[in-house]
Amino acid sequence: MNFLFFLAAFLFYFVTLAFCFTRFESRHHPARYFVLFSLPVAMLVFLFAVIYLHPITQDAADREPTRWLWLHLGLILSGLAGLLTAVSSAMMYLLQSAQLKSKHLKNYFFKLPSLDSLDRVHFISLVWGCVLFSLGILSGILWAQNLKELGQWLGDKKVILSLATCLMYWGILFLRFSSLRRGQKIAIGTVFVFILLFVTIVSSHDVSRFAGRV
Amino acid sequence: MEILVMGLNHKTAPVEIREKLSVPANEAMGFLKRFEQKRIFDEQVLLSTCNRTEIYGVVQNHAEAVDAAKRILCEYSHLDLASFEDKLYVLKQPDSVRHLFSVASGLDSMVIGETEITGQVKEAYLAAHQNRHTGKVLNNLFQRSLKVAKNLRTHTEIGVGRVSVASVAVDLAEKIFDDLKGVRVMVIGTGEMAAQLLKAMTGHGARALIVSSHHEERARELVREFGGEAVPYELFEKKMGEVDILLTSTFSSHCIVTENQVRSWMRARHDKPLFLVDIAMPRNIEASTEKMDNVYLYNIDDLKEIADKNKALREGQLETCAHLVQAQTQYFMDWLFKEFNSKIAASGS
Repeated sequence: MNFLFFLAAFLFYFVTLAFCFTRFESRHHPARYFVLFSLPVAMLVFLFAVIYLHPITQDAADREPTRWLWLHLGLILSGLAGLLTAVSSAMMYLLQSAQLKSKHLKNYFFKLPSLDSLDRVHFISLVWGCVLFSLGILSGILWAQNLKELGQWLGDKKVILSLATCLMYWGILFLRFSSLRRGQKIAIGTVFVFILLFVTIVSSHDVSRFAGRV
Repeated sequence: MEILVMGLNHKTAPVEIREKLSVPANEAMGFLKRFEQKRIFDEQVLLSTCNRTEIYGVVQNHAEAVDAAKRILCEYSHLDLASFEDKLYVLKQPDSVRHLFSVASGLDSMVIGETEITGQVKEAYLAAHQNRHTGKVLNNLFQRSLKVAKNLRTHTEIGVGRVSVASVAVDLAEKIFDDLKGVRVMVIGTGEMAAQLLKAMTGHGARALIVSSHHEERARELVREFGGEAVPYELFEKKMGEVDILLTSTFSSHCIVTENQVRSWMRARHDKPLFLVDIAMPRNIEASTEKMDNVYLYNIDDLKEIADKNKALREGQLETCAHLVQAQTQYFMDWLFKEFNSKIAASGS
């Protein structure tokens, strides 16, 4: 189930990239480089996720799938795809910005999109990612059939992390929307939250148990 | 049957000779008509740019054709043959084929790897083709030369980066703002270098604001030439909120743009990227501004360094390009031999 979940997430990510490709491809937006850069980031994330994350609880797995479940999964996966697109565009933004600051232009400078394009992709994907991910969490709460079950869920590290990530990304979006910050600082924030989430997931897991299982 | 090229270029002839032998586009077909009337070539294309005048032709008798072509050049330019004969080059196949491939790819240009020549080769070929001056050989040769040019640009780094200061600045601006259409560029100073940069930026769609403290008439002249508006020096700070690119080129002995000023502009712009180009000597913008987030400051040395690096990169690609051109020349010669085997053999014997 865990593997299928992330396989589906990866497919959603492809759809998001395909959207970016058609939306931004032109002489000034070489979207193919955007896709080429994003894919290894996504692959790495999904690989770690498949290896480290706990399978979903037996209780939840035993339950009959309902409309809420499909809605919950669809929204979470779409949100995840949006956030991953935001992270990869933020990383490209920082790379391109560092090139421009250093004044020593490498070959990939000419291949990466402009800061303006990257900022736009980053902003749009972050908005969609945050909104869909939040709706996903909300639908998950509604899926929980009673308060006791909800309490159990809120004790789950995955759920806590998801909520924290979502809140942090909303914070970043607030700064961007209110025009208090943009460009480099917002891009750094997006990547920082992502790294924080990633490190927390990896470090909170009992790796030795996983090694024993393999 | 043989493919021949005869002409002169910036490497072989000074501008005084080149301008006499240059054929404007509106006279090109009349010029080729003279060759057709005297039956010098079976097929012919004229390539005339500011740096070269070349006639490509398919001939049966090489020596006679060259003499007749020289006579036409003398008639056209009203020059004695002796004054330019030593500047002319005459190349036979496969050198003529290799030469066209190099020309079309920008390898023989003054600025190595430039792309304008590819368009000029295409136009020259289309004009000759439309007027029925080309046949199977030159059709194939010119079409292949355009493919070779594209191939080289795709598979080598001959076209990577720009090699002039103005175009490097445009490249950088496009990597910040994507499209210069709608981007506002303010120029403080009205010198020659500032005008060149302004021309390059407005040529890509940027809108200009020209500021001058001492040469208001010159500022208005630039406005007439490149559009935009002239702004009195006292008002330039008020206009900074609308500006994305600031170009400074004054003779001021002190900095006219300080870090504090840029900081307040950035606050007003909500941290939207700002591109500062300081081509003045001594510099007009405080160097410490480059440390600020979303501010990209380049001075004249930075731009020159990038231009020189790109130029060196292109020159470093020449050997690889030469190999590719040689391979394509061989490919074309194989085709020519297969198609016109008997004729080539007959003319060679």
